[in-house]
Amino acid sequence: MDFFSTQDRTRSTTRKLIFIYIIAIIALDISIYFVTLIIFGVAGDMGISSFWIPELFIGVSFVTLAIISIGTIFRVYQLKKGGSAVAEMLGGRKVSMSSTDFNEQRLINVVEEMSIAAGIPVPDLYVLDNEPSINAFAAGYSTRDAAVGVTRGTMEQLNRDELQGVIAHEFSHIFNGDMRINIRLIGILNGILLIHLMGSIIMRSGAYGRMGSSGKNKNQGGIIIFGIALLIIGYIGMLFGRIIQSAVSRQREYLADAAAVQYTRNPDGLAGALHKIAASVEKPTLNDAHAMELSHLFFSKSFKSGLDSLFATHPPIDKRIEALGSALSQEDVMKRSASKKRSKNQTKSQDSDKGHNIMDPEWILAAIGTIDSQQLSKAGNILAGLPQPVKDAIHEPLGAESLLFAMLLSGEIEIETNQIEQIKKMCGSETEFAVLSLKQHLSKIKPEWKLPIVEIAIPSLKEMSEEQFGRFRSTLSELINADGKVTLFEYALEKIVTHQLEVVYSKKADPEITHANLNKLGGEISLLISAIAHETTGNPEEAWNAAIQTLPVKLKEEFTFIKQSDCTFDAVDQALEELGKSSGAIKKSFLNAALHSIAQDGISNRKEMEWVRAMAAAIDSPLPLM
Amino acid sequence: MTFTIILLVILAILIIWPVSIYNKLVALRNRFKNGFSQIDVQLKRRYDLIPNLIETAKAYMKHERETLEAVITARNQAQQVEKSVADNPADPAAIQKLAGSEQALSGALGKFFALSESYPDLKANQNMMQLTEELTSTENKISFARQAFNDAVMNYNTAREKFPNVLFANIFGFSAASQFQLESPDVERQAPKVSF
Repeated sequence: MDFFSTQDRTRSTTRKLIFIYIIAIIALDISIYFVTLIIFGVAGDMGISSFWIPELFIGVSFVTLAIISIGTIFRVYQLKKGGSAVAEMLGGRKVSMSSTDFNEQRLINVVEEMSIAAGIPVPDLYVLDNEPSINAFAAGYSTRDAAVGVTRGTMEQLNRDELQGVIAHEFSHIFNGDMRINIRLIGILNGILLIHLMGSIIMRSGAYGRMGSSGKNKNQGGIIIFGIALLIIGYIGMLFGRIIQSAVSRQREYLADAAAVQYTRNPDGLAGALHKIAASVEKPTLNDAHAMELSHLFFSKSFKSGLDSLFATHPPIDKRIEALGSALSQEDVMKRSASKKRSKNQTKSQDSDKGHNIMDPEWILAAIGTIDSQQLSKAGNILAGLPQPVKDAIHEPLGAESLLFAMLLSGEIEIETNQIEQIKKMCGSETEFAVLSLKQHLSKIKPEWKLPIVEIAIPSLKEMSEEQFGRFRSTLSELINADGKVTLFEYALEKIVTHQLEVVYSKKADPEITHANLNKLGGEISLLISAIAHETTGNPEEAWNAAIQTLPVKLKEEFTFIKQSDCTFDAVDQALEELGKSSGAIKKSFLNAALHSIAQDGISNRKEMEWVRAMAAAIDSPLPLM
Repeated sequence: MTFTIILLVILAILIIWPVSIYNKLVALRNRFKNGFSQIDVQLKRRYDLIPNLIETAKAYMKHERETLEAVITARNQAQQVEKSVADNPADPAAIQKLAGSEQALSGALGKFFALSESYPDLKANQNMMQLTEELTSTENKISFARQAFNDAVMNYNTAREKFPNVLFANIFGFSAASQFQLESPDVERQAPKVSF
């Protein structure tokens, strides 16, 4: 299962969930109908003349559906903001990226390394300060609005390897699209919960009414019983909801554990964390009131239930450790790494044959949505190798803003003076000061690291207020247009920044998937591949052909090589917009083609990489470090 | 029957409505609280820098003990206040107090920098140059973070006072929050403007 097909699959799993949900609603509806029929039929004067009273059924259904859908829509709407909304619902405190606290700093480092290695935006980080136990969660709809939260106990009790194991587990939830399903589940549970809640309110108000009018109305008794019945039906509905919840969740936990080991190549880390949970006096259950509703989000069990085997959202800890242990001893781990080494050697020998740096499109494609331990250590090295002032700047909003401005300075004295004048005019002397002092450090950074650095700066940029963001945005485009032309680097930087920050500031929802057929996107894909192919070091025609060969379509005529002058940034923007609305399978074919076009001549140059980074960011596809 | 239906639907809305207002206000309050933690980190950094600065200056400014001590006192006081505010940035009185103590600290620092002008040796000191540069950039970060915090407070206060939110805000215990204003930005900017 690769990243794209799991993303597609979760969408279909969500459909299945909705199906179960509808069945549950119908069952609830019918039981409420009978309760109403019996209670009001018996209590009222009409008596039960028939089991089928259409008017009553329509009325009951209408009310039930209205209540459940209000509850569900309300919750889903509330969580539309993605991971951070869930984290805040749980009482999470957002970790400031510039934190000086040792534990928080370590958490930030671990998460950043993993994000760079995997090529996804750094998720928002939250700490649950009131929870001394070891637990963690991931939430959100897509990679761009993801949030990862850990309890205070996790930060304090685990060592770096164990923390890395836990975070890797959460990252695998992000890649597997588990978060999307989880949020849907929360909505479903809330709809049913509302029935239960209404029951208790009706029961109480019935009881009050009875006290007030001292049994004047015979119906009062009926209302109380009706309330109790709703309460019970709601409760039974909740039980079914919980069973769905735990069934969906449990299997995913094993998968996430296995993935975490695969990412870090260090089963001891995760196993150590699980051992500590098993051994700790503080059970991993949470104090927060939302713990039960959101239990399927967590790293380990967040609430206790008498019927653990039925309702547990997580497999028992010892089972999980056991599963890890067998994964550990299994020879296939060694075999896999051996075969990987072999394939690496092969590429290496090709390398030396041609004497260029070659990249393997198949390997990169397979690496999307996973993390490789080598990339992980490479990411660690990049981060550690940054000059201290740059590292500081990345982690706080003014610095992050200034760092991006500094990257856009032209280098030609005349234009640059203008640009700095602009910065001062629009953002004040504070920003100007920071830009000037960052400028000198920036020259020490390898050009190909700049875009990954932009991606780590995103969380700090999110801390700006809306007004500050507005200013930042317009200054950014002023600086880009200062010399009257837009370079590829400038385009890529702006694309990444605006795409990632749109979620926060303009509340733009995730695009609906409307394209499932590659041929319909012939024009768009032709344009995007052509744009990349023109930047090749070799022959553009050949790069184009290499890319088109890989597309799984019969009608290759739909795809035509477009000349460079027509590959304008505006056209590319539009094409990306359309491609963003397509299924994972199409995105995968596109990226595959793009990577083949780059690899065709055996050299991946900076411009090609900037194109593909910008495009991958715009269609929400992770792109691992290369 | 129709009556019951209407009653139930109204009931459902009556549950949902206040809850959604509550949630919205919580989200906005969280946002400005996060905003304060951003200021907080930089304030702490500033408090850490100041003793080093004074320590370096001591060797040169032997006759200005009073000024140096005034800076340290103001710094200690501001640090005290900051600790109490960090626990609850939603308390307007605490924020006002912090603004006051920060103002005093900036004033003392401004005086210190003005005096240091007449000590060329101190100005040429490598350590001093570096510390001043760092202090300047920290103060810039504070003012940027403060702006974000103030914007977030304003959004929260506006949402709180809007109808119908205002009906529920007090019942749920959402009191008005205060912006973190430093009154005369001239004094505040004086320190960074000193160039060595």
